Amino acid sequence: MMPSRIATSLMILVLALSLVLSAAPARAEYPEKPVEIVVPFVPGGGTDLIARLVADYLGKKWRQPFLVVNKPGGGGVPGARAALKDARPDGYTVLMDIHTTSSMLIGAQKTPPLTLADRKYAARIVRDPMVFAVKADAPWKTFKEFSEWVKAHPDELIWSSVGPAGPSRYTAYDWMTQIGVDPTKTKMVITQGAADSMTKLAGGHVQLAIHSVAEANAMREGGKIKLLAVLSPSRLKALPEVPTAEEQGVMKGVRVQWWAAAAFPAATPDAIVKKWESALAEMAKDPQFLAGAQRINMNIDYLNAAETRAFVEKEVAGYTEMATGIGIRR
Amino acid sequence: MDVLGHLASGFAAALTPGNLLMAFVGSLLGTLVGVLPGLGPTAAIAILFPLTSVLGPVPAIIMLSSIYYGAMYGGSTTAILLNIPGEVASVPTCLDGYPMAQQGRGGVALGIAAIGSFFAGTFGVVILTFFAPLLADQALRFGPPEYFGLMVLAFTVVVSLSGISLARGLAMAMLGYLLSLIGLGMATGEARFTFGFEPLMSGVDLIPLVVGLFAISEVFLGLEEARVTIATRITNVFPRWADLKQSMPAILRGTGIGFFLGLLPGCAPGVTVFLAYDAEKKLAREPERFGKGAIEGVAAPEAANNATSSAGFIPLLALGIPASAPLAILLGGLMVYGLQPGPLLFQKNAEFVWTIIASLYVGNAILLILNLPLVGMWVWLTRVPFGILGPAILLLSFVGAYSVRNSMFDVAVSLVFGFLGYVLRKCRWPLAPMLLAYILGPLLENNLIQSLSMSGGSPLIFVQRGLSLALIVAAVLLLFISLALIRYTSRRLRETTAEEMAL
Repeated sequence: MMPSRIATSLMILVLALSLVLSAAPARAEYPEKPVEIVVPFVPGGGTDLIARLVADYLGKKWRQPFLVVNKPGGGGVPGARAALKDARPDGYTVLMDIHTTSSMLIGAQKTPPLTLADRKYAARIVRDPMVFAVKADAPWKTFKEFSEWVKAHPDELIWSSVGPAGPSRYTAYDWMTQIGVDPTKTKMVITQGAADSMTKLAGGHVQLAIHSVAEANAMREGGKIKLLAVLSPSRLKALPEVPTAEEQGVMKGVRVQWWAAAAFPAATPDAIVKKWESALAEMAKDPQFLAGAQRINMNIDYLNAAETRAFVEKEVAGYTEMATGIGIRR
Repeated sequence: MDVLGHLASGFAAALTPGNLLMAFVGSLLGTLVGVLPGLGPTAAIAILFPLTSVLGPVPAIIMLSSIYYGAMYGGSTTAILLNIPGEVASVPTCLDGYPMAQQGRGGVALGIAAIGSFFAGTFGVVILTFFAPLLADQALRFGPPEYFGLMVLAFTVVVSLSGISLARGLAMAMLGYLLSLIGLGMATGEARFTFGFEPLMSGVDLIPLVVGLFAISEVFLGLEEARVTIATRITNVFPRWADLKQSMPAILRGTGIGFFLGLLPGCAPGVTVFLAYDAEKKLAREPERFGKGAIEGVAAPEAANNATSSAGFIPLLALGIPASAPLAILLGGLMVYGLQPGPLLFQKNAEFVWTIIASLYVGNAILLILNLPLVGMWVWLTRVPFGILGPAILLLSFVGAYSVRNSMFDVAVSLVFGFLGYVLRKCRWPLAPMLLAYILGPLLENNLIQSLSMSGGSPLIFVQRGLSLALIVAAVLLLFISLALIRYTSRRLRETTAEEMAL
């Protein structure tokens, strides 16, 4: 039959064309195929949200699909390992690396399952500082006042931490040792996550919760909690009324914060990592991207590849010291 | 905003084309799987659970609840037409439904079942709408000691999920709890029961566990049983006016019994359906008609079944206590999305809760619209041979287990639990207490540890705080009520089926 013959020849033509096209010399223009961004945590969390924003931006820029692949569980280690060690170092697998899977992990273990030598950073994208939060109707007005109260009554302080070795615990340790309080005298309630911890704070079951700005913001906007201090070198644009811990004369330096960076397996070609580095630099200035980041309460703070590496190395030193001090380094 | 305002915005969300489609697809799929001989609501929701995990939280939970409702209705279809109850809750429906089918009135029985279910389901949801927020108002008062009390209360449900032997139920709950311990301990960050095997570090995931225990084991059982298929002819599904008049009081009573007992955490449909059936028989002028095709004998337990299922959403959403195995899977579904049912759910995720509640109304209506005209197709489906069904279920199960974390390890886990579930079911060890303990065990542990951290190690904190004391006292009372109810149900079940069926 005529129509089916036409259809067949058309099909052959299409097939032949696609063969010719695929056999054509590679244009050597990365990326030529979909790129996977591995998020070693569940969908919907901070790491996942920022990865999706980045995927959206780069997907439009480079006209290739960027797929966010969630590999949660085991504190992020199995997912990070899958991206850095098991994947081919061809630039088509990238890890959304955060403190939990890098500096904090390396600082807390004598033989960490993943080291800095296993990755090549393209750039840091987000820096989300920690805040000290108390219930909205708590008697303390300033962080200084609160710290004085804790100094006088360490055994009355009940505070919530996320996991036994999370950022909240390190921040609390850093703060307490700086103001001269023995952390073991206070009562630490280990919660399952920021949401769990913030509700306990709002319900008055704990007196203090330490979280990143993004994690604390919903309850703050809901008027249930107030922020006494932000742990950052300077005040944040998004929270101009919250003073830093340093300007209140309570703490010096910033050793704990939430951050996210793009990391590749160590053997990935430099050209590809460079390409990402400059693309992410542009992204960090893109108004549309910044608007998206603001919606998810993410403080975009770009560092280039070399700066990122130096930043993470400095964090590793800090965490190693603090983990030893707390007694959780093993 | 008041309840009606919340509900209105819930309806606005539930009636968006996407969510409406989810409710429709869920009802359809649920009925489809529930209709397949031998597959009850638990198996249906277990098989279809992974499919919903690709959706966002709201459409996924809408779909899961519709699957649940649909599967309950599908279960009644096989009970009436084939005399095969998918679960205990459908046993009383067989008693008069199957005789009706034999008399050529199968269509009418199905019609009455659909109408009774719709009425009871809608009634249940109306009460849920006004009752649940009252409980939820207490939300922020719930700290770790109160949640611990709540979990103790929830664990009394093990009694009514145990079936023939409380000892077996407790043993299975312990096994479930042990399984939940695998992985990194929340309070210590230390690996537990991983035996140095890295994939176990992140624990046993809920979906492969559920798929294995309830769906894959079903395939093994089905292959072995060589299920028979019977041809039935359905003529008319619309009941006559006289039928309706005869069954309306039964539907009302069934709804009442099913709903108010269903409010007790842990009072599963398996318990209330027998009570409703017995009440009808005692009240009837000619009790001898029962067992020979009395329409009230179908209407009352079907209404009770659905009323209890809707009532079960109140302790589920407001307290996080599941009353039955399918609801336990639903609870797991909520937790997969980070939505911890409990008093706080109404505060933190009000929009979500009200969309779900609104979609329960929608789901009930869809089921009625769907089922009356489609009965013919369901009947045809009951004849699908297991040789086609089995591999299809297996395929769905594997795809589902894999898709959760993109990991082959989870497929292996589902297969292991498939074999385990098969052996346990063959030996009549109840699976529901295991699932309950697996889901709630970590919460019990965490809240215990957190409470003790707050009090500096003193267990007195549980009796010093009024709310947690009240919850623990309620748990003790409920334990005795459950024991009494369960004794009654297992006696009735033995009389009815002359065999020991797992509740």
